[in-house]
Amino acid sequence: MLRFSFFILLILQFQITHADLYWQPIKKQSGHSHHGRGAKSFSLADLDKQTPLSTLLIHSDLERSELDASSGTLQLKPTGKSNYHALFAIQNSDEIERSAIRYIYFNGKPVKTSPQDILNLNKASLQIVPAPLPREHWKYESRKSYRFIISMDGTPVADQPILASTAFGSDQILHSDEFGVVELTIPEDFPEIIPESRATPPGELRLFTSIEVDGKRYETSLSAPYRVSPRNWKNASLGFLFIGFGGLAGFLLIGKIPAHQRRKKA
Amino acid sequence: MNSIMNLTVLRRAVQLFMFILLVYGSVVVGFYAADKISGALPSLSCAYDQMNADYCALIPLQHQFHHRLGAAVDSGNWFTLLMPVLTTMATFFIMFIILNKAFCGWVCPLGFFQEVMQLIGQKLGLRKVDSLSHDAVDKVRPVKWLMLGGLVFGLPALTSLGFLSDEWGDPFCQICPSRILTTLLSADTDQIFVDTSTPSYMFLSILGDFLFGLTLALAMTLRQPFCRICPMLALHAVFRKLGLARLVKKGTSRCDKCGLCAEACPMDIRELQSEFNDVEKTRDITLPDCTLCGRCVEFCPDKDVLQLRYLNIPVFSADPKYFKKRKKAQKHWDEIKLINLDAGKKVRT
Repeated sequence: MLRFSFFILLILQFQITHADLYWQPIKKQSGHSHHGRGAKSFSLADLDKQTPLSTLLIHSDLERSELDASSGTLQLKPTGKSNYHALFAIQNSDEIERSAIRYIYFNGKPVKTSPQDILNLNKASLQIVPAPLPREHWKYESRKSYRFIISMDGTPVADQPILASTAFGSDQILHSDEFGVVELTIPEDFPEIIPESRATPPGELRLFTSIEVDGKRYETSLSAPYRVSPRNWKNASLGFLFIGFGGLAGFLLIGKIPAHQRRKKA
Repeated sequence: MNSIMNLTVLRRAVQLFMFILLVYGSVVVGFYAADKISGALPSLSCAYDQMNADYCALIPLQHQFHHRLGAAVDSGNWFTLLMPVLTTMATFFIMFIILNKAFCGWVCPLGFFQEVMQLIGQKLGLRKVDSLSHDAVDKVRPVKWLMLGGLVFGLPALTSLGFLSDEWGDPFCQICPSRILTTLLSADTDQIFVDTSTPSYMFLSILGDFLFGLTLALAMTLRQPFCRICPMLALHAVFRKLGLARLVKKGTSRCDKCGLCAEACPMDIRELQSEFNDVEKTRDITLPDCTLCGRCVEFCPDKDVLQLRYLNIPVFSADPKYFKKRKKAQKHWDEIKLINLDAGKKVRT
């Protein structure tokens, strides 16, 4: 029975990873992120050079810029607009549609649209949609759970297998529920953890899924950085203990505060 | 006046509404819109709460001094520091001018929470300290200025200039009870911790946890313990003359003997009783510690001696009839106790 389950897992993994187009960041020498203000470089992994490629940056206000990623790499300059942008690549033929998406935060002038408007766009037939994206100043973190919706032509897909993998080698296969929702707990798989906020370089999370409809194959990926969980150096039990000490000190202090009659008694 | 319809009940209703909006507001305004509404509210609505609908001005101010001052000094380009600070302050003013210090008494989620804790303490029959002594009040009053000058501006500035390590960039947020409170109320325990990464972070996180526990316990007996040392109260005090809402007084000779206003004041402002007595003109008595809660006006027995004014138009005035009914309602409310934990203990005076 165990051998049979392992065999099924192998088949599933093969089905959804044998061609995995995805965006990955190109690390800078300085490694400084400029709080979303600097240029960012990305490469497309597993690009099929035979199939036509279309690459887009969908701005936070939904304006679209055509990009050239035929070499497999590109550099994104800030658009001057704040909030999430979508970096999107698609390769389409009669047999297969391959897409890759990555949501990137830029700082700049506020826009009237919401990140939800970008998420709602039907960018590819098959999509993995974050539900929701982390808000400003927040990132995906290891040990925490996040939700994603799998949709085909805008309709949620139930019981769809998803491969969640990380650049550090973790893999897990999840299935969407009846509403197309997948809940993923990002693993704690950093090879080295430096116990300080932002000191450990971020990991790379990649989600893949594929489906076959009417003889055509659809594949999509979503990639995003994730940070090491601060729970590695933040002790919650000690926190509760010191709150308890504070409460105890407060109750002891209460008994010692003399009541003061502000009004002069007649 | 109906016994349950009074200014305090109205204020609590507004506080409850604002509390829900500020702690769980993303449910109302949308997840992404929530942190974009202003980014600088004049109350302790915490940016660490991912469900909130705004956050307080103190976090951007600390970050601007932490990240921009050193660079401005190095480059000589002060514009890079002034622009973001002025933008934050402009956002602060837009809302502050409308309500003035009433943000503390009517909007702040931490202020409301302390009032709720006080009600719980009272209903549990815990000993109630109505007022602190003059000496204690005088010792506590400067602390809010130290909190504002030291924790919001001073330490972040010293960090930016390289005199302190990076951990001291936002020290007020590290110890603010609202950070723990508002996140805890949205079922997030991530802000309760002792940070073991560096000695400075460990010290600040222990202090933050301890202060939260202390505030919880003290608020059950003493009115508004954290408000008295809050840097937001000090920031409001600096600009209080710009707000449209005011507390005004035209005292009589009876004020010296009465003192009901000072007794009603949750911030122990004794000057409410002693200042502006026997004056010919109405005078502004929106003092630095005032939160414009209006309790002093409610409990003033003399007609129009104390007033809450908006754009200099009286919106709520002291009135003998209101006072009698309010006093009766308060007495009735105080008599309701679920249990009496303090029964049998000798009252210290």
